[in-house]
Amino acid sequence: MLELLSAWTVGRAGAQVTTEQPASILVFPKVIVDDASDTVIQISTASPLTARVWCFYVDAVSAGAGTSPGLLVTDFALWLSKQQPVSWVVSAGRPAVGPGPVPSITGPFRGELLCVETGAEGTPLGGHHLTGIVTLKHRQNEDIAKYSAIGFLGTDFAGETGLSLPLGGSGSDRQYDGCPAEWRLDHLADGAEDPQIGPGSSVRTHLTIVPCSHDLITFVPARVTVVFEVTNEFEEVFFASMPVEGWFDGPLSSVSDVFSASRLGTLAAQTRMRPALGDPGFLVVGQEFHQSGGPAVLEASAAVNAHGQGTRDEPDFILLP
Amino acid sequence: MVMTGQSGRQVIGVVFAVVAAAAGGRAHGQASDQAAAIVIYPYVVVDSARGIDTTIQFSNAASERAITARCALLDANGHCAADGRVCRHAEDCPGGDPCVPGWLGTDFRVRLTSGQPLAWRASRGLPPDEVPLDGVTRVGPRGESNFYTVVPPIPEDPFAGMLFCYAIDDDAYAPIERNDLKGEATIEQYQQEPPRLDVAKYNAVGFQAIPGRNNGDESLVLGGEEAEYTGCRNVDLINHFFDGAVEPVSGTRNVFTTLVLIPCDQDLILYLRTGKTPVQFLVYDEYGSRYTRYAMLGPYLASPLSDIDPRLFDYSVVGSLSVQTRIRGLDSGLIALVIEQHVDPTDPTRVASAAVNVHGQGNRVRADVIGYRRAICGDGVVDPPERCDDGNTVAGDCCSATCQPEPAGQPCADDANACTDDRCDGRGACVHAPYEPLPEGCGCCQFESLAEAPNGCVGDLDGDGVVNSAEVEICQRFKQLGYRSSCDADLSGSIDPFEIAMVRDNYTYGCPAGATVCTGPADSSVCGPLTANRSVPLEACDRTSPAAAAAGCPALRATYTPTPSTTPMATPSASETSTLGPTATATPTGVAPNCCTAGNTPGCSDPGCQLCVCGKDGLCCVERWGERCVGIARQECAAACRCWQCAGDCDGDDVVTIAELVRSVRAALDPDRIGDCWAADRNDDGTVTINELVAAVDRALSGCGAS
Repeated sequence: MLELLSAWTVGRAGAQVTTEQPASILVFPKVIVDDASDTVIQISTASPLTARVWCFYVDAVSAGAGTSPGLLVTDFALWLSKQQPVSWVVSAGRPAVGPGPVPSITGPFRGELLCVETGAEGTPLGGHHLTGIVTLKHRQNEDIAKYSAIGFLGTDFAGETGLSLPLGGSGSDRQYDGCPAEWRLDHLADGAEDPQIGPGSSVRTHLTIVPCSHDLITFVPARVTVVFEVTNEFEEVFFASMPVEGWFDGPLSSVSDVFSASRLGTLAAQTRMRPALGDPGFLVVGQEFHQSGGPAVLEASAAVNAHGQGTRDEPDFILLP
Repeated sequence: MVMTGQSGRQVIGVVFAVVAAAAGGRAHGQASDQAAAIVIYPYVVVDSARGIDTTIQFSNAASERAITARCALLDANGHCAADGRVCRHAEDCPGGDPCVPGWLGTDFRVRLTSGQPLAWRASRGLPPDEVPLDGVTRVGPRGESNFYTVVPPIPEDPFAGMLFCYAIDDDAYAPIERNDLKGEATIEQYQQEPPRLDVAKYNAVGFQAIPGRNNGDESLVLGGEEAEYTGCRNVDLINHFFDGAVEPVSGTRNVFTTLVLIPCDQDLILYLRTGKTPVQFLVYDEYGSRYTRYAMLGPYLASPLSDIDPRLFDYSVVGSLSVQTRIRGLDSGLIALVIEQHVDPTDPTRVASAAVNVHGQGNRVRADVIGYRRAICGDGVVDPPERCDDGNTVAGDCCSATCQPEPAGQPCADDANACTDDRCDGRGACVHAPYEPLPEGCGCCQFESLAEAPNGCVGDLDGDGVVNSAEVEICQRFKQLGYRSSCDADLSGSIDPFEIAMVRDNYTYGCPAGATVCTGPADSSVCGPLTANRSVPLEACDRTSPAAAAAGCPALRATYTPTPSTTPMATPSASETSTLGPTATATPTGVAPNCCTAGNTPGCSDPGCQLCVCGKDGLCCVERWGERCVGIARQECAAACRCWQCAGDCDGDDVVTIAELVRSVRAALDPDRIGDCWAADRNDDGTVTINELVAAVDRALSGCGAS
């Protein structure tokens, strides 16, 4: 625990990921396709020139069932003309016209989408031209939730090491911005009563966590232990930790009961998340589910990007095939 | 020397590192994914009729020190010019009335302790007694509190507007360069009938302070050469679908996008609305086509894209699903937010929404400025971090010389009311609460109806615990002129016969034990509000009705029976002599006069008439049968009372004297004095005419004859 607590030294202030600027690498941490849900991907380029985008569906869950731990990866490439937008439903894909084919993912799929801006020959570029939006759609109740893809801005040095992409680091020849040293997310206590609906209702927050490092050559999922520091409205602080291998998506209460309304004791909470010392960085997206209770239960959700703080001293790596 | 290849890249890398180090990292401009010194919630909406509310989450990203923020809630509602109802367009106003744009600000202050999150609903705000660390009953582990935090609710419902907060220094009353604020907003719609639940969430937009740049004046400069904070974006990028397109997953909904746009330039001093600003829209569809539109947009826009231009953003016109729109403010920078809505075409009230912060590109070269008002103690305006401002910088008046509340309980200015204790309330005001216990002579009514109260004493006007004849007469006399709270037991605004009976009851038998009576002004503001709350109004209570008690009427201690005044209920003592009303002519005691004759004893000889008259004026059966009683008898007891048959015979003794002629003339000159001589009004029309005066003189000369 002391090692974990000592991780709370703020990383070097500097460039870090963005969810609001065109970037060179986009990560869509939460992509879900199953009987109940589907995902819509929107990508566009802010470049006045043609941009090539090399994308990878990374299924981190299916691969692990009953087999050696590993990733299932499906890749494809798109060509986007000047400021062109493109969108597709993950389960349907896109035909081989226009920007290019996108394979359909028939499901079940629980994983992420990773896209890298490259040159015509496939060498990664630091062009920082890509923006991405995800819409998570529930088929039955038509609920939708949207979040922005997490972007890594590239520098002029991007691609110098070929298909091994270092994210962050302290060198002057950094190729891409790094993962944040810390994430912050404001949320409501898990299982708390919805402040607007009242008795019988509940609010739960799901976290999706993916390691920044991706090995798309050997398909070995990265492992990171995430350390949580939760502060409630009374300024009381609670701690928890959880290992993540490849990908995680679940309610906060499955991480630890410190997130529960009964433990926190207040409605609002602020959670800081950091990797344990020596572990790779990670990316986070939250999705808040509201349930009405009563005889006819209604449910709706909203996704939100977390706040990043600081940058890691050590780089993370994306290894492209 | 030309540097090429590896050496060139090394030099470039060194330069980059130097620049990056000097800047403290990349200047990202506005951002919603990092803590900042200024946070803006562009879209705060409440509509209780449709079950819509916004939950604001606001937290301190610094885990080691508290932070104070000054906030402004800006109401962007338009209002119809004639009736002031909320409107968005002129079409919302009746009769072609214009919809006048509004821009009204409400200032408040929030203090967050180390690492603390707060949350509140916009419709309710966060009152001081609901802050988690109020500084009185609870403080944080470091001794910090949310003291001074008061979040007001939205000023009107429905409400649409924005929330603006920036970090300030508690002592210097000025912005500080601390990038520790972060916020989120959740817009939720919940209705039970029809069943609806929809949630959308976004991050507040942040502007980071640039260290060492704030010059302490009354403006926050965003971007530009004199930047104190990171600037607004040059271009906002939104990825969306064309309005009206079929949602691609289920194919059962149509997609619409609501765009929220506000200018970066803001006036938080006078809350002057900035004028319309030119905005450029560049729209790129997925086929590579580009469309351009310029629009003049007002200072607050929250509108479907297709309302901005019904052709440009309409799927049926363009035919493309995906679109990238680039938005640029040509005058002021812009802050944007997008809400995507999937609408059921068969039931447009069924909507699924999702909000998302927009992307941006580049920073504006020109600065945007947010003007704010520095707190000035003594200007009469409470500007955070002031907690009071009584218009002076004098201490000892409950608001200190530095505009902080003086301790609760401290004595303050006397309101010249002996029943109230004048003390500071601890929030900057001098309050005048009734003493506890109340001193003698003071009253305090806390119950809803005197008649309901177990210790109510109806009629005890001076609160001395006794109802005397003067008080009875006052209640009687003023019953038609207005009410005195102690006479009007059910606070109906009039004193009815049953209440007079209650007054007489207390006069005869004394007030109930422990009775207290309100002695404040007619509105009883000293004692607190009184309200009528009876299932059976006292006007319906008839003491002679056997069903009265069963109907819920208060029981009197004596059952009144209309008996002649040979058994008067009370005889006035010398100390209780009433000075009100005309002087009655004395009649022999012990003999009940006829109902048309005034006397000094209560009651009259005709029981039926006596009943009628006393029902209207109880004093007639309590104190004496005066002229007033005779006048009522003339009206109520026509068969029993023939006292007006001799014109001018004011006292009914069958003789018209000179004095009675004078009274008749006085009544003729002043109709309000008709009671001086009812007998002069031969035709009961309330006036004495010349003819009636002549008739009176005639009787004076020739006599009345047999009555």
